[in-house]
Amino acid sequence: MLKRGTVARLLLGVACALGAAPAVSAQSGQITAQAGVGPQVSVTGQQNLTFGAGLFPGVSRAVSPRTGATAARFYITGTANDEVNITINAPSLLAGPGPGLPMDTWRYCHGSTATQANCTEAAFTTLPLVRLLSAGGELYVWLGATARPTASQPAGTYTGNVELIAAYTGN
Amino acid sequence: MLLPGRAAEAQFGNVTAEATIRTPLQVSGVWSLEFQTVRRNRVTTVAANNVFSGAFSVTGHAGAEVAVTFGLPTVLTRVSGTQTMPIGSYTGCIAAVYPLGASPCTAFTPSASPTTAVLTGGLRWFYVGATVDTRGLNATQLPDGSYRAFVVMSAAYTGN
Repeated sequence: MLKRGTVARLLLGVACALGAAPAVSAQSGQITAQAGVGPQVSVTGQQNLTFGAGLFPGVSRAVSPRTGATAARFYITGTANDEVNITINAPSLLAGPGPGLPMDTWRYCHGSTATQANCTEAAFTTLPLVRLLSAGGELYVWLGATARPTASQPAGTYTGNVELIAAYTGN
Repeated sequence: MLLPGRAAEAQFGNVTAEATIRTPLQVSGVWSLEFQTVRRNRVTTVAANNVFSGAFSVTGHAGAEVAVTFGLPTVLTRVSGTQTMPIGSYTGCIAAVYPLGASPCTAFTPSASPTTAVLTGGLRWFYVGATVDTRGLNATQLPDGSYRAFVVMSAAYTGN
């Protein structure tokens, strides 16, 4: 059984402990949450793929991605030396006035400069292409293909959309 | 600087693939090669520039070059029968007009196909003549009647 005086001392002790708290709350510390935003990867279609003045029905024509002056060209920019993953969606038929115009043997050629002759050519089967952007943050991609009109392909203009998708890999 | 979330920042670019197709070729068999009535034990010839020669037309893109090939039968077969009349050889002639009449034409050899020609004005006529040889065939081997075969001509652009 506690004596009255003992209780008083205990209460005092509690009061003293409560009285010490304001001194602690005056302290604070902080850290910084930060993020940097670098250049977004950017893709620009610079030149359409065309097959010249006109194709004759039944006569195929190929445009080389490395030597063809009418090859499609994409320009990719971003953070220097960062790695990008590139995929390409290309049509197997071009739409026009009649049945689709068959397209095949799509190939691409990539290089770090705008000099097409220096690019490295490969088949679409090697996609996706994982490639470092240059020290200048650039990458060029040219596309070529073969158009194969049938002997009865109706006359007219045939078109299709070609899409290149680029994304940083994080490396 | 490598930044979280960068891998998701896919960007797109588009171009157009475009091709223009020229006029398709059209080949028509316009006139039959007619030997008319031939006699046994004779060689009968219809020249390519003869009024009875066969004629094909080819239409397409003006100025384009085409290559023509032929399917040339070696015999005529009796209609409703099995007897045959040998065909000796074929001749050909390319012209700008039909009927040929006295107009000039350029000779070619159908069996040596493919033969190339330019579609000046988008049209060319191909005339075909031939020789049938009934020498050594008697009435049993070559009874009276009509004899027939099909000559086929195909044309394709060369790309030139």
